[in-house]
Amino acid sequence: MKVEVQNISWGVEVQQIIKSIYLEAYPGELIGVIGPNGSGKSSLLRLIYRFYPPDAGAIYLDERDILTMSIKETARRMAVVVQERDNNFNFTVYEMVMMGRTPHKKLLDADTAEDDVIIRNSLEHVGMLSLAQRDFHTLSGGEKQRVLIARALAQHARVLVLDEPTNYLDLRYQFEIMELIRSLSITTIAAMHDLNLAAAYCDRIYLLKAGEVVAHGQPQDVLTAKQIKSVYGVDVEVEVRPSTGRLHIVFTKVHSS
Amino acid sequence: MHVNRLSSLFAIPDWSLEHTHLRLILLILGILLLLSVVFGVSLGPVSISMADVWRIAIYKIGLIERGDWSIGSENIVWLIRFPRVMLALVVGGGLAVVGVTLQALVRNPLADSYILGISSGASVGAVLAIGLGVFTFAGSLAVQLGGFLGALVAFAIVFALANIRGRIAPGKLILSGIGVGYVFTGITSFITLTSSNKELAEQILSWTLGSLARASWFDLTLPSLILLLGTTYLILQSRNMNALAVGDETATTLGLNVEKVRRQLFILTSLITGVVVAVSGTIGFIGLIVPHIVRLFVRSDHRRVLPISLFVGSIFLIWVDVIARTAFAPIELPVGVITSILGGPLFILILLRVRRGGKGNIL
Repeated sequence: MKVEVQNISWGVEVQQIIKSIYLEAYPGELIGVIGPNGSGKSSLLRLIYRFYPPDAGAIYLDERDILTMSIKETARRMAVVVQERDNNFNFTVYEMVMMGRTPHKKLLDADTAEDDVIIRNSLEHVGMLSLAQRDFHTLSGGEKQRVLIARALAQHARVLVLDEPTNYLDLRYQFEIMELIRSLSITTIAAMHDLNLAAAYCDRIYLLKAGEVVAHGQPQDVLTAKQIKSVYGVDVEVEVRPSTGRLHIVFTKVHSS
Repeated sequence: MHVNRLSSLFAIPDWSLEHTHLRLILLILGILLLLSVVFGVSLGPVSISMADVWRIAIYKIGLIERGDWSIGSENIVWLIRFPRVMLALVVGGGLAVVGVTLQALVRNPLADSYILGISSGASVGAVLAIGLGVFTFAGSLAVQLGGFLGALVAFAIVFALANIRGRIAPGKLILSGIGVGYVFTGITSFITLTSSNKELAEQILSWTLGSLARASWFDLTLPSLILLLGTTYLILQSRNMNALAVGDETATTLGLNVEKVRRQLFILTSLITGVVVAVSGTIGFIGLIVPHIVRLFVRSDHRRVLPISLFVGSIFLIWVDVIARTAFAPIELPVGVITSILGGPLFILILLRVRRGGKGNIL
């Protein structure tokens, strides 16, 4: 499914937080949205998954304006992994993933055997089937994130939106989660913190600064030393590792200006 | 979709069995509820044999001829004990269901209509109707209408106070509830003490303590109806409540119109609280105790917690009321006194447990 964000703007009171952003994600692409704290990454995603109503502009899923759909219809097309990971209720892993079936249910519908198969498959896909009966809140950060991705899979959507999927995760889990997301091959838009991870896994990257897209394109075109310096205010060296062919960004010093 | 090899193995339990479990649990609870009603009606300071109690009940429904029992027994059973036990059933179930819903709504297991000041708001509305004759256009339903409107106003204020740019701050919510509760309790006392009506003062005292002593068949009709319809609606919403309990953003991305669902639950909980408080006063902590105990056994899925809490709440309050009217006979305790003695410590316990466990942030 294709996602098209057209000139979207949003603000709180007089402060413009998202300024006329344009973004496209083609079927199967993994798009990274990067930028420093407060650059508008999360706000942009919240506009895409309809948590905030845009002040101007539009978002299309396969040429259809999402604001013309019900929220439920949107949820059948787009699954989201947000940063809400803690709650005060003790749901099991299985129950958490079952929530992914919510947009497919009418008022009187019960869980079916088909739902059960979907939940098991989703859990197996993220390697969490054996923990299905565990309490969600007893899991580690990486495990929680896997379960939330399983819930997104159970939603049977064709677009996946992830808000900093590797946040607070150990190194190993960061790579595991990114490998997992890469393996799904559905249209994905992910806000990311770690530039090296973004460079390694994303097809294309949008670089945000103060609510605007300052650069977009393939990782090697966006993540240049000059661009990173102007957006993040740090000096870096960017090199291509001969062993992997991957972009490698090394921090050298804080830019003082 | 490829067929999952693992799920066909024996080693993995069939979780869909939980539906069967729920039906079984509800059946058992239904039987327990029936037995509780039977015992509740039979127990009391005046001893009437259980056989007579049931013959009177069956006679009153019109199935058998009148027997040789005394008019006194007949009146005690039919006009006092039966409505009272039925009121406990409705009020206990109602408060428990409201507790479950409020907890999902504000994402906090410490929520309860009493703690959040909603019951106190309902009291003011009800007292305005009794004491000052407000809402007389509603006729005999004036008190219950007053209760509903009072509950709605209190809830709206608490909600507005705790709402910081679309997010409910849980700590602020509890504190706002306590603050609003104090103000409304104060207003209730003020109306009572400045009223020239002495009978009113007495009536209102039992109100603020929570009592089922003034039960009558007439008072039961509207609360029963609202509880029945309200709970049916809430059970239909229980899947959505799961999503809501996780978070507003999650709920939105799972296809919920969060504002709309929240508004509906908001009005419905006010309605149930309002009519329940109008007939029983502010009985505290049922909405806290019952869902908490239920969750210990069946965890948090609202599709189980909600119907089970309804039954457990009814059974629980029937027995608390039996204790209230028999344990210290001939003195009768308001039932709210007992629920507070039980509920207060539990509130503190949950608070400590959640803080130590560090899961989520309640305050």
